[in-house]
Amino acid sequence: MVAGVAWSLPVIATAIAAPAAAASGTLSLALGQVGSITFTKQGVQGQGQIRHGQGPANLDIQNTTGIAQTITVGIVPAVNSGSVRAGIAIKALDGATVLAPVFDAAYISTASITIAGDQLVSRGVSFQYVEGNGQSAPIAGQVYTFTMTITGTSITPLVIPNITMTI
Amino acid sequence: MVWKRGGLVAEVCSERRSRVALLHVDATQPVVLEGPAAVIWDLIDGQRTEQSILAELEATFEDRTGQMHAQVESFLASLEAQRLIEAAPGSDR
Repeated sequence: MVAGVAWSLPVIATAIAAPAAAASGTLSLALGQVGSITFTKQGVQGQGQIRHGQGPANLDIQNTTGIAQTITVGIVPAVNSGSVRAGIAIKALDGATVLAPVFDAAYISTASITIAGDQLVSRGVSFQYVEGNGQSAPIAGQVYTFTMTITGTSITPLVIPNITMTI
Repeated sequence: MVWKRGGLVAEVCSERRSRVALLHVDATQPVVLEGPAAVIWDLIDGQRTEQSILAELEATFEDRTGQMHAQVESFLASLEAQRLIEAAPGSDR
């Protein structure tokens, strides 16, 4: 203690953490070219394991932050009737590191993708699928519809609906 | 009245104990005590009575306003309301 110090009102101050310094630049993703796409069966590269459908062939990426940014891609299957028996996930995104996706029991996939810094390009994207997993296999001719959501800490979420895969 | 520090309160002090940051385990934000508030926090040890804390503050600070007693009581009540301090066992209110 310091003797002779002038008394002043004791107060409880709220500590407000300073926000982390924001990286300069921005990260944004947008839907690029949409058209016919193919789906490769997870873990299998051979012929006869390819499914076809409609969806994004490219994603337009702007990462001007100068540093790598990680995003999360979730893809939810939507089937009008019956059980969901197939799921899809991004297999590759040019110029990015795609971690192995995780599929839950309802075939919802989640994957992390790291996008290198200083990109301002349209990147090709490819997909993989899983099906069955102990349940009945999808029936030939069925069309599965998926909704892809891309989120991240520094981007506006991007929702891409109506990705289809024909069995 | 004897006060003790809350058992669910984490505490970080500056080297000279002139600045104390406190966080109750259920709180979402820490609080900071400085100056007289930090001194009072140091005097809350589960042993000193409220009167002895006031006596030490009077010996330490020059109270030109004459409001020290009321302000300290109010401050202690605020600490209690935020569950940063609690009455010591067996202490009379």
